[in-house]
Amino acid sequence: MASYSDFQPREYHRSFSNLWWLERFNYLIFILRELSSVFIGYFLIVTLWQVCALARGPEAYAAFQDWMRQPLIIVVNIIAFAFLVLHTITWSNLVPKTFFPRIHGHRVPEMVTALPSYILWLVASIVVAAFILGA
Amino acid sequence: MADTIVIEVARYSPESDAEPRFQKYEVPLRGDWMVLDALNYIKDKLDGSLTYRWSCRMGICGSCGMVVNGYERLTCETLLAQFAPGPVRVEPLRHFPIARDLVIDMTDFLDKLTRVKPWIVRKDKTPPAREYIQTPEQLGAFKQYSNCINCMLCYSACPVYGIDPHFIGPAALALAERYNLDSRDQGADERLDILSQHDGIWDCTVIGECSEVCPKEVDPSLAIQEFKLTATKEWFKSFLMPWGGK
Repeated sequence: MASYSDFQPREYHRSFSNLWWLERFNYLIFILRELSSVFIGYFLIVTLWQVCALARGPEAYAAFQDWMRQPLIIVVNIIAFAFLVLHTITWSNLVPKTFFPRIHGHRVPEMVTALPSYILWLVASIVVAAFILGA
Repeated sequence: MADTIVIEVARYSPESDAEPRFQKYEVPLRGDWMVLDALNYIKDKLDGSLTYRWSCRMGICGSCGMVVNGYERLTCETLLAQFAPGPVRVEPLRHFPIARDLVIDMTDFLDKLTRVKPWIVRKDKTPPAREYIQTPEQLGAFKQYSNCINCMLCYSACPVYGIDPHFIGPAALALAERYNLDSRDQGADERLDILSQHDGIWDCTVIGECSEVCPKEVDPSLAIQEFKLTATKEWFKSFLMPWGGK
């Protein structure tokens, strides 16, 4: 960079902190939202494993259950579940930010576009709960 | 309530400072004062060397955007008393080079603004005999985005711009979308080539802080997502109908 002269002011260029995401609550939520995708992947693998174990028979499923009962796995699952809930809420809230039908030039209220995600989540949760409790 | 409040102002003199420093000033704490009034008090009564931008004092010109206690605000419409008992920390907008004290170099923003062609583009060579007719619905489609005052608070709040200075940025993208949605404009395909590049709309990760700090409720984040949808549709159209042209 050119040194300071009367006709070329010496500007100060600030560096960008790697910890920028700790500076504001919204930044932190954004990073956690992105990070939550890792836990979605984790749950996907666990579910696939569970289905495979179920297909292989009672012994394989019992082995799966024993593995899942380990204290460390329970802790990991609790953390993963918390991220799963965060993922669902944050991405549902993003729907109105990315999908915005207009009627006569006016935007449809955010609630209208966000609500279907929450309703779908509720219905899916009820179906899964009914399946588990009924079994 | 105390009679005075301490303001910590970021100072940087290119002639003598290696990096910015903070200087404390004690100013009267008046209920009707904005942060800009306090800066003007410092400039008039305490330290005439303090440098900052301001003009209209009514939230229209977009000159006095600064970071006050960590958040981007127009200082002319930010009440000083809300920060009592203080101190209040005033810094220049983030990510831009600092020219002096609270003044940033906005060249990069102005370059990017020009790139997105924020004006009405017409294909016809001759001007019309009368003004273009526009219905209230057509006006409603872009009016929100036309409220942008180029204050650059959104650039300061956008970490993507901080990480990747090539990112065109929220305000320029919102203004591009403003003209794309204008029924009188015919330049959407010209802008698409610029905005659909990697440093255009696709750099945005929907953090949404640009819309949070916008003093005019422009919602640049929405404009960018809206344009992403348009660009995706155009890509599918060109993929499915390559012979169709633009």
